[in-house]
Amino acid sequence: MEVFNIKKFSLHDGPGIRTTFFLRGCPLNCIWCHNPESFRKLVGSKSCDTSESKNYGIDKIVEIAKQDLPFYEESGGGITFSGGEPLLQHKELIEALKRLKDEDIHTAIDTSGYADPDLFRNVVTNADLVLFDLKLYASKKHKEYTGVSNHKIIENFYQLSDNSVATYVRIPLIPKITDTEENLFALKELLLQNRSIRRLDLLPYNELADSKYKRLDINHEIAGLKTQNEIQLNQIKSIFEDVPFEITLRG
Amino acid sequence: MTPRIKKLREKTLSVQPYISLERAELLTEFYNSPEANGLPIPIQRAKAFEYILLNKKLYVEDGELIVGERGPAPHATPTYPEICIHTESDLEILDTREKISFTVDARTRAKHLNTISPFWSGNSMREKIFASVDDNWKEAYSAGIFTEFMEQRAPGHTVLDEKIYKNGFRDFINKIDQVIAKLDFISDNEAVNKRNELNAMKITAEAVIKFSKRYSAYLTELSKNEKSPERKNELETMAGICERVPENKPNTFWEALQYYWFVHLGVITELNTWDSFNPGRIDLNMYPLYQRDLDSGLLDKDHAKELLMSFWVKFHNQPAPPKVGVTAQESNTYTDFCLINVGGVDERGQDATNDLTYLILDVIEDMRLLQPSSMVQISKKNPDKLVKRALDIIKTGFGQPSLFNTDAIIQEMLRQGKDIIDARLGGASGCVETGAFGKESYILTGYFNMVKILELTLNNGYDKRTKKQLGPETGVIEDFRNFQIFMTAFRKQLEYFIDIKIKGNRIIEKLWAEYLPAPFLSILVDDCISSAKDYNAGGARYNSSYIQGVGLGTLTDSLASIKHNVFETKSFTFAELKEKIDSNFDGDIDFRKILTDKSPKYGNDDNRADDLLIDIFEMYFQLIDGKPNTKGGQYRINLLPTTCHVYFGSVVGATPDGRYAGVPLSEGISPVQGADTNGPTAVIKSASKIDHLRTGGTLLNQKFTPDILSDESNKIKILHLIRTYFKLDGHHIQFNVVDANTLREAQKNPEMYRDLIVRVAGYSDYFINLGNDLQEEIIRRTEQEI
Repeated sequence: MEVFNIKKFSLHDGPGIRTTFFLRGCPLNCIWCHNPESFRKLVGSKSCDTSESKNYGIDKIVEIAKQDLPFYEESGGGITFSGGEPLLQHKELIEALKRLKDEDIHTAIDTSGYADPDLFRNVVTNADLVLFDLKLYASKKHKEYTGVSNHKIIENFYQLSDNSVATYVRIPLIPKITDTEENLFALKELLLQNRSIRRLDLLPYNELADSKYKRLDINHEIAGLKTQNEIQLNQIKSIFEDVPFEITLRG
Repeated sequence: MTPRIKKLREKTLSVQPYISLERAELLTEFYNSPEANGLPIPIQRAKAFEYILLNKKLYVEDGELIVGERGPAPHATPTYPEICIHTESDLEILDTREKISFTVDARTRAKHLNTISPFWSGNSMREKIFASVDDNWKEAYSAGIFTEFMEQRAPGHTVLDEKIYKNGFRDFINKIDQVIAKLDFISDNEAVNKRNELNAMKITAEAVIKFSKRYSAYLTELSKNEKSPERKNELETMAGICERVPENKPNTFWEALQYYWFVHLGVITELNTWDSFNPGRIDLNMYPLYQRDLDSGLLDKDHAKELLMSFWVKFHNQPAPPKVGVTAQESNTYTDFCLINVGGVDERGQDATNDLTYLILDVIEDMRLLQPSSMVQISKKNPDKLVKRALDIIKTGFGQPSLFNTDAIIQEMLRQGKDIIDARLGGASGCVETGAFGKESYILTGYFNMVKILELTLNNGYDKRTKKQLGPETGVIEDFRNFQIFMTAFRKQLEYFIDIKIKGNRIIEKLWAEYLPAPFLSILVDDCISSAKDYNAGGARYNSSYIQGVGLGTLTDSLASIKHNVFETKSFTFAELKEKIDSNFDGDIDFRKILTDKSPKYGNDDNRADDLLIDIFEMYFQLIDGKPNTKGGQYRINLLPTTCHVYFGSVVGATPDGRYAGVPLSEGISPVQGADTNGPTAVIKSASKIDHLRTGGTLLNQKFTPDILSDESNKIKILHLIRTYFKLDGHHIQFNVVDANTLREAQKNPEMYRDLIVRVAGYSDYFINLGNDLQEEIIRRTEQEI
């Protein structure tokens, strides 16, 4: 498995205390992700910087995963595979998930949902939880901002419900791109059709690392965007008020 | 907080401590008087105690509810010339040093130098000790291999149980009389000594009763002149309380607090006991009176809180007696290590928390005082609510309360052979020391510099700093063919110095037993009365002596570096390594980088380092645990540094883990600063490879910023982190919530702060990994929060 980072005591990638393996490679090319190492810091979501990775055999992955077993058991935590896009390494991923199931360790996959539907089903049915990123409902816009159409993503999203795979949905709130009322209402309709959702995490934009963009002059579209204020966040939250699952701001 | 508590608190925080000769003068007067002539030592000590209490100045602070000071006024700090005589230069240093200073005025200086010092000179315990120990002890001591606790302060290291809430001093006197009546002068060779000791106890018991009655009379007098009818009423009530306790057992919560306070003053006046003294489990022991007063309507919660707060101020009014020389570096602080315990289990092993537990935690949070310090005992039987409440207080960032594993503490005591009920009713005191409250003398005898032993091993027993062959010749390392030979040499050095330390301890124990008995303290600790033996002579039910290992992290990383680099990867030879550390790396950054960045480090759940930690622990344990002391008890180990890792670091040159010469050693069982790079779960996993249950305490520090605890879901994860550490038998963990200054420091020296986690926005990250803007933002936020 190509892994570019391993984070223990990871607190925001699923329930409890977890160890997160960040796997290399991503098929998306999100516009807000051009300065990859800081993107994760912008929205508190997964990283897109996968350049420096190391190869781990499955045995090693399981060995590292087991190190914090007492913490998972105490806290209801486990392992999360994030990325990049972990499904790019689906073969090893399925094997790792099966091995961890044998060890009675809870597993989660943090995915963009962009994968071949058969392959996607094979992977997610071996995990205990899926953290599913939803960004934009409108397919055209999705392609414009992420480089790919969202058809597969939406199909896979339905598969989660069809196969009763417990799911946390995460929406990164990029100002004026994903946080528009139009987009959020549309995503909400989509969410309501999925019976497997346990939780929705709305991830506010964080302007703190913004100065870096200015300095590097990389992305004018992203530069200058401001963190949503409390009023805006409450408005956004109120859109999802009546959904039948838990909502969090900031995951 | 009521206005008067606010005033009391502000006052105690603003007074500059100063040296008072009241005690020294009264003591000297007594010993100069004909009355002292020809008395057996325990009686002499007891009469001196009585003389001090009958003649010292009384003091009542405006608005306070608990009365009594050790000196003539708050922060007036006595000297104990029978133990240690300050020199002229000591007084000068105390008066002028920038931190932890004590004002010494001209009269005090003159009186001390002209009267006190000449009288005690040649007779102080410190002088007796240095005259009695061997030369090799003195050399090792000067080289910084170990320290000695008892050369300036008395054995104390003990905590009270519930006995004072069930017995008045009149009851204790009756018990003493019963034992005297049964003494067997026909066949017991010790009968005369026993009678002297018991009579001494009786004199001190009568003395503390008389002392309280002096206060009662004084309060009555004050009440007569008091204009405010409310305060007048209060002073009359307080006069009544001081008339009743400690002669009788307390009938109310207020009486219980005042009773304890007289006891506390007695103990810290008799001798300058280490860790002052400590009421221990007050939520457990005072709860019945608290509840009864609430039920009867005598007390409401607000008044109880006010009483506790006034009680808290009393502790803060008594700075630790100032030390001199090396000991001042070991623990240079006004803090006198009184550690209040709350939580834990009761005598049946059930959850002991109650309403008073939470009221006391409120008091701790509101008072924010260094003394008394506080800890929460957490058993698997205690509710999460207790831990969460503790975390809320920790978040406010003044280092309290620390968190202890009750279930581990109990098992530690059981392994040492203690009764299970004594164990359940015990706890931890001082920094992290396990003890059976009210029944044990658990003396810390000195810190032991484990890293210095490594340095001596590397130099064939020779100490370059003091230019002496201190240890045995265990071989020239350049000749060592494998790592095991090195470890064998290390063990020989370790054993040699541990034996020197233990021999010295046994000499010192005897000096204290003979020359400075503590009859008052002996009344309070079972079974000194029934065994008719002094606390300092082994009268307690349990007598443990500890040698505190320091520098475990630095030592482990150094050994791991040697094993890995010299014998496994063969990156360099022993000779090359030695040359580099002898020259303090001489600017060779690349070489040092191999040591700091490419060698296994303790604190990362990495067995290449942690296995060596286990080896060292076993060695240290085997060489100390179970050896007899002279009091019928045993030597034990614990792993804590107070601030001694700084002093010990200053006497050790550069080390194979990449540490520069003179830099502090790692503290407690915490990893070397910045060596742990895999987060708190890895630190806890590494730390739990130590067999805590075979120690009498270990100390683990973790750093967080306050906001990491402000998020409810994070708080629960920290709770799980603590519960897991305790499930793995960890003894103690302390969360140092860092302030903005520390973060600034981390910006400047990131390599020292690789373990510092901060909450960013919806997630947490290592501080040093954040961009500068983000770091600045977090610093600003932290500044706001504290």
